[in-house]
Amino acid sequence: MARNRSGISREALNPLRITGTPLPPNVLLAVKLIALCFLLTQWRKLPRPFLPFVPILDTIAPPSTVQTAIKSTFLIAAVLLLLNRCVRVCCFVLGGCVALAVLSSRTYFANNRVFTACIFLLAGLLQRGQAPWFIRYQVVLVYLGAGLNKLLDKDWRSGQFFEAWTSGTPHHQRLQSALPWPPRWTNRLLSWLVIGVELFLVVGFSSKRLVPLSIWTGAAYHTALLVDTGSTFNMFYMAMLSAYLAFADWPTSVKVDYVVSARPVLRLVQLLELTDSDRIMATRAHRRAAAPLSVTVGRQRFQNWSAARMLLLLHAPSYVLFTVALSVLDPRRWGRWLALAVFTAVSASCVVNRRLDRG
Amino acid sequence: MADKRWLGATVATGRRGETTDPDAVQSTVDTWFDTHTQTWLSVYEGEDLSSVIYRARRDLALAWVNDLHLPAAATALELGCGAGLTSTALAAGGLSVIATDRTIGMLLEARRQADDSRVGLDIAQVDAHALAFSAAAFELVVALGVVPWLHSPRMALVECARVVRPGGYLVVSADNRARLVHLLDPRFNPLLAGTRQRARSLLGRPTAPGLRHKLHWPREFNSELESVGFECVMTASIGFGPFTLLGQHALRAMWGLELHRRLQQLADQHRFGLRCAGSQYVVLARKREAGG
Repeated sequence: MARNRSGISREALNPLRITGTPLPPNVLLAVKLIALCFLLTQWRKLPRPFLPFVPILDTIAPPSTVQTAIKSTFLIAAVLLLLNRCVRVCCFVLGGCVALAVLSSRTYFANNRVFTACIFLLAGLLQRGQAPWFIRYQVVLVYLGAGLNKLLDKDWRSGQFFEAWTSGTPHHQRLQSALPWPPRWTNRLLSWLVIGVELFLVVGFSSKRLVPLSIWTGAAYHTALLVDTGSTFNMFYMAMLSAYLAFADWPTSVKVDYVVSARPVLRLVQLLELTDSDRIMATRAHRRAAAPLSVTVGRQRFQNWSAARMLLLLHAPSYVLFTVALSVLDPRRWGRWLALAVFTAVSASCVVNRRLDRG
Repeated sequence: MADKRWLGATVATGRRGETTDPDAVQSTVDTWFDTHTQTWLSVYEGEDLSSVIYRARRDLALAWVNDLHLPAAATALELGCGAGLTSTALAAGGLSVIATDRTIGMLLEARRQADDSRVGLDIAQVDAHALAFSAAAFELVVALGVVPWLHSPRMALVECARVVRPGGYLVVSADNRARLVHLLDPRFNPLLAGTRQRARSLLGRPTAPGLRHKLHWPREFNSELESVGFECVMTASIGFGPFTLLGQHALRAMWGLELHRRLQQLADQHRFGLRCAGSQYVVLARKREAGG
């Protein structure tokens, strides 16, 4: 293993690697994705102190100095986190930077930024082997607050808020005109759907048994919102979906059996193996087998499409690629289609395999 | 008249050799500009990529004019003055400027702009194809964002050559057919025009109606200028974006701006063949002296 002068192996510095640190791999992946997304979309927008919530931030130093300090600190911590160095400290620093930025400017305050700061700070509290229950309850708290807030709001219940909110989004206007009933019914229906989903997610994420279903429902809900409104709500889409990763069971090894003669399968396995920095894939090539591709994770066995989906879902670089693409693409145009395509492909693979099983 | 194809108009790119009624074309363009005067007013103040590119084009034109060191009170004509920002800046620089446009709304805005800036500015409603000025009347003619919207650009260039005195200058812009933004999008790539046309006829879909702006290859535009009596002194291309894929914006605004800045820097340094790959092709041309 190649080591540099400080005795740190090059592999350990690989940003695509998520094992070998004090944080659970899935939590490390989650915070890396949030940090990456923040760097690509929000870092430049970190504000100068302006009407701060804490008055001392206005007088502590010139506003430009405070801004530069926050930006530099965030950048250094994000780079160190991506390089797997002092990951817990970096999480605290990143959370602190975002929290400080929010506290320093009332105009910068937004729920999604507070949530981002909370996820960083809570991830920093985690230790190896510890279940991320406080991240889960943070997510529950967000949905509870959001759901109750909407439920108690007359305009949300009547659909008026939704109507005003989406009045500038052409996709929503097209959806309204495509449906056979009046637009206000659509808006009321969607409002209640939003309230219902958010309250379901409160229950879903509170119960361990319902977490997988809640993850799917939450991903579907946020992707649908992105497609309909063309907005990721700053950090909200990426931060929330990345936070879901913390609740997933992340295996230490995955057995992959594939048939050499199936060219697409061979290429996929080779590509994933090449970029599998954590070496969790244990591959075995066969000349003949019942299925061209089968993946065994713990006691569960997946075949064909489901197997490919599982491989991609347990492949950290895929998430990084998706995050970078979504951070760079315009969410009103190609960004939303990308999100929809990925979500549909992942969901559809379950359906396809079930049908095959029945057949 | 001013160039506004990113301001929400339904715009299709014109093809060479297309035969359409010139009056009808011009009337469509005039009506569109007349009804979108307000939109145009804000374009130079925006922070979006289109506004940045328009500002860069105007700043480049003004910098070139400044470097000419024209004598005080030298006569200048601006064709398609739009909201009058360029004319006002030229007048503030000491030139005696006539701002012209086809659209009354634009001329009124140009007048207001000049009054706000407290500079003297003459305004006139003229057609760029038939300028109502005597020959060799101006030291300088500026026509930014005008050529793409004319039914006969050559006729307008001939008119420009007529009203500029020998040794005088023309600052003119054209929409660049070789723009990188179009080359990377199969929907606009000029090399795929034939394929698109065939696909359209196979599908039985006629070309979408709407405003048509003319595109020029840089070399073709230079030749046009030279054929009417100008010699190109300076050329530049400006504007890398908004990048599209199948006609849809591809990048977030922030990344679009960043990419434009980086590519513009490379284009200004004449690197990677980007010199002529900007959206706008801007030329400073000098009218040849008699017998020159």
